[in-house]
Amino acid sequence: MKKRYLVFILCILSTLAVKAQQKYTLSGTITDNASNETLIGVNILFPEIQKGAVTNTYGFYSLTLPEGQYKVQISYLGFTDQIYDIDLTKNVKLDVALDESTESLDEVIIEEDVERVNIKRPQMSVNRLSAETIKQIPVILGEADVIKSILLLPGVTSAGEGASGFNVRGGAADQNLILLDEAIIFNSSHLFGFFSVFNPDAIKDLKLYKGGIPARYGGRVSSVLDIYQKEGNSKEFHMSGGIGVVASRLLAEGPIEKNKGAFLIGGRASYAHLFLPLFDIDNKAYFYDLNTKLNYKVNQNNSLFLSGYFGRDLFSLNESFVNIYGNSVLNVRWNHLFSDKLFSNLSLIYSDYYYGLELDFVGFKWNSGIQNFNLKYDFKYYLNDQVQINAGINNIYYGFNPGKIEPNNSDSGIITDQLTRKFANEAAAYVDIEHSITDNLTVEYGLRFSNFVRLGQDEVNVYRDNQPVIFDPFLLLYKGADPINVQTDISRSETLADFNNLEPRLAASYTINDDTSIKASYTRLVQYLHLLSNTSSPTPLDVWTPSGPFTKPQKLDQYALGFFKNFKEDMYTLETEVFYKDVQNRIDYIDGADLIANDAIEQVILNGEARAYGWELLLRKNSGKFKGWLAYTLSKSEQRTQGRNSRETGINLGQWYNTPYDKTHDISINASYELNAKWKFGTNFLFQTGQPTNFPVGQFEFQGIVVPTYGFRNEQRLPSYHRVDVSATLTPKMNKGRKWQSEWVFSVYNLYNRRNAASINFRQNQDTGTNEAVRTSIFGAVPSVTYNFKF
Amino acid sequence: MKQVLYILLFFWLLQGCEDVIDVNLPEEEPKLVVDALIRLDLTQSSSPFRVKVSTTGSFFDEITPTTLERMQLVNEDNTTVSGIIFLIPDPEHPNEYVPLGPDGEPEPDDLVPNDFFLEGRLILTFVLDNELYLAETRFAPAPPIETIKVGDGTLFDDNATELIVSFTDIPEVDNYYVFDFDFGEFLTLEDRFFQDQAFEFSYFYEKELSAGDFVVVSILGATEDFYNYIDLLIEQSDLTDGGPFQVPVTTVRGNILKVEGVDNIDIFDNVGRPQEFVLGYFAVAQEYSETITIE
Repeated sequence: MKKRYLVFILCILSTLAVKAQQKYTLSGTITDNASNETLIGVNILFPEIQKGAVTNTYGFYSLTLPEGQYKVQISYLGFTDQIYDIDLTKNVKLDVALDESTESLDEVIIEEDVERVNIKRPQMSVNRLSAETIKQIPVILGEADVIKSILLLPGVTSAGEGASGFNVRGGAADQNLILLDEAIIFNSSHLFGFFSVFNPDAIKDLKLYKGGIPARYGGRVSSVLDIYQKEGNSKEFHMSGGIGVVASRLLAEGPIEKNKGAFLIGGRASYAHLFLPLFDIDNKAYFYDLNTKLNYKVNQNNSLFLSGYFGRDLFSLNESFVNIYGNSVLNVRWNHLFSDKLFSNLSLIYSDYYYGLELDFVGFKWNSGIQNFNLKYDFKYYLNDQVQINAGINNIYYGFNPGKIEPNNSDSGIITDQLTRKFANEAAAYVDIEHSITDNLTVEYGLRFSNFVRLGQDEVNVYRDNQPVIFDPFLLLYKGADPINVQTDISRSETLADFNNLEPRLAASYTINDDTSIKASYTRLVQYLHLLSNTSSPTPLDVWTPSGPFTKPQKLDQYALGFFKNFKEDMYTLETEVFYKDVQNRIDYIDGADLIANDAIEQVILNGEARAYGWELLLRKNSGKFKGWLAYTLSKSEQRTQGRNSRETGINLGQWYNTPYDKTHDISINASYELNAKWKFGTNFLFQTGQPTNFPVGQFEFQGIVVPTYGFRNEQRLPSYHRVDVSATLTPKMNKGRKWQSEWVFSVYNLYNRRNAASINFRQNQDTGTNEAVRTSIFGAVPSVTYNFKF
Repeated sequence: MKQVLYILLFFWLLQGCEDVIDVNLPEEEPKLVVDALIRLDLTQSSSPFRVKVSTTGSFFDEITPTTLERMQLVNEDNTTVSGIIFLIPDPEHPNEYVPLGPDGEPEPDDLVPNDFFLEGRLILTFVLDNELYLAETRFAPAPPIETIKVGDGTLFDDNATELIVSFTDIPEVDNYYVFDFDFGEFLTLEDRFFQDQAFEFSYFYEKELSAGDFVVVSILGATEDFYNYIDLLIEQSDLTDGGPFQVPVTTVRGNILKVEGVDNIDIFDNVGRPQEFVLGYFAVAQEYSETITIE
């Protein structure tokens, strides 16, 4: 089977190769003239022959055309177009530095598909946001936020305020691959979800892939959020920052060696007693993060990058409860041009996630985390004007520490215990080809081969019939089996389980005319890591676990079909897509599964399945004083876990039930209006069908404990979620002609003070002894003001 | 322990943003509930035995007492005492079943000799609507509470009362403990992290207590299954569910099963009738209690 795929690809490559003749290559790097920062997604257009190229994530482009005279137009939104006459009688190198256009405030909201070239590209289901856009969206407490911004896009939802992560097309939060300069981020939230870990000042660009995911990505089944940090200004030293009601930011960037190398260092910290009464000095809740980046252009063909991220959250209550968690990332990259047609990038990445807890009133400390070493080597070969080939290899070694418990003082009765550490290796190789077959038809096809090895660990449980979960057919309960043996003689290099998967990807675009296209895609993705989370959105305490002898990898098949149109000279764009996806081996938890400090997680999980389908619509106005978009998603997301045989009922009696992220209707509107040079206004409106939940169907009492009873899972819903946010940005007149640039951002989150329910709890009132339903809502109307500056 | 963590995680979000609302709830057919936790005081020769039966009701209504047709307790393996105890309704509380004495009246103070329970499989059976139900358990031991005192620590709520409790784990075996702090407040502990050790911990009351109140605190032994059951009851009862950290809700099933109709010819198990179950639990636990006055 594997062989056949390989032969197929070789055939395609060889047919492509014979076509090349009398052609030359135009290549180069596009940068921002003000800072030498490379620009991603710049269009290099040949208007006479209707061809074009786009810069990659390192600002590089390459295009091979027949010998001749060409006009080439370099165009990027927010920057002034440049037009060159090229005499392509030999290979030409054209590096271009673009100037910000005078009306640079005229920032375009989402740049994807604004140009005609993108109408042609088969890539669909992608949304791109620039850092500028993110900063313009009104947000809670004035803190611009990456994750909160993508929630305004179609197909993206979250569990609400104070919920970590996000859900894409009905998928779970752990099914999103979040990359910061190519490093995997395991927890994207500060303060349990109020803020994301990405400092918007340090970010250049982000892309969210919801479907049609190219073969260079793998390891998560729902989406890819690919975030690139700025490289730093290699011309001049600059600083920027902001002072807000919850946090302040400061970022410095400048040349190490003029026009060759630059550094960037950005820090962000919240104030120490966030949300806790200010006078209560015993309690603390704060976060901070630090972004750094160094780049050095060794010569025309070689560049080096070093990026780092370090972030921590800290809570402490009366010193009796202390909780610290966060991500660290270190990444070294080497860009090398083998030729003007062959671009390569080698990355060495270390990332880790740490979670620590100290509970003084029980007398223990807890540490857990995940570490990974990632080696990536990616190539892009610009074969000719019809074909581009991406290929690469990738190897990730993981070490998981599910938890270590220790006494926190000598009087504590707690004894040190290390939950069994787990180890795994994930390797992958891919080929991905973008191929313009005719003027109207462009296809991207690729194949990813992934291999996952669960390595040996100190203790391995052995179960009768290999069944770690048993079912009581009389009480109708699933429960953990007792291991019949515990193997302790397995070395780290041994293999406990081994998985190999082929992940084909296919996307096609058919252009009906210059402004209209139809796209279709098929994606298969495999996910080997699972976040053990018994809640509807992840908590920092949740632990990742690798696939292994008892936990199968999740496998996704997604089909999407879309229609794309630009009209009124690209002033408006319309994107609409339908999708269907199906995930095998989605893990589900038996009733009462206890995941915390569980050393035998296989005893509480079963493999089930999940599916989601829906329709998305995105209508945007791209230019003018009034800009914005309307996004609407109609979708369904559900899962089921059937019995493993006829003597079992399965979870929820084996019936399909709504996932917690099933939101039937999801509407978001984002609008901005530029009144004059001084004032800009922005607004959001969000509406989501209430989150599926469970209301009690009855109650009973056992030993004085009042216990609700429930029917089938997730059959009720919380009330619909909706709110409006507004913001006004004041750019003082005195900014003109001086170095110090500043702005004030005034905003109100949840303008009409809607008490959106984060949950409804059913409980006995301790004072009256009667039962009641209690709604918890997190934010009412929240006004805030932020001061931003740069110089 | 899990509950504590979840509460901690979510506590600070909840301050000042809760309100009581009206919700229309779905309803289901009432189900039978049997509360048969037998607490043995081994410092005496016998302990009271009382089983409460009721049916589930709508969440906002009262719980309805009910009656059964017959109830009895058997020790399958114990031959040293009479292997069967018949249970009859207490004339004053017809939904509570107490041991039948030789004179056809309830035993004085509902007492049953402790020896009956200490060894062997204990089986409680009863009949409802001519259908037979059964529950099986074993005795679970507990160590005495060594010290108990009121602390002055606080966690989130400055008014919450802290109790500091210490005991020593029963050595050599895996133990499960259930603490009853009165007022329907329970805590579960397993000895995994303090095997064979003396252990001290703090408990913070949910209920607001005032000086002069006295509380009865008990440590109960538990089988692993009963420990899991109480753990789930606590989790599902009221304290822990909140917002995004909500644990999946479920109807907590106990160890009482329907045996009527299981004939091993047509019906081998209850898989074909998943909705026909009773709630509650039958457990026999050693108990040590201490009374303490809040200062």
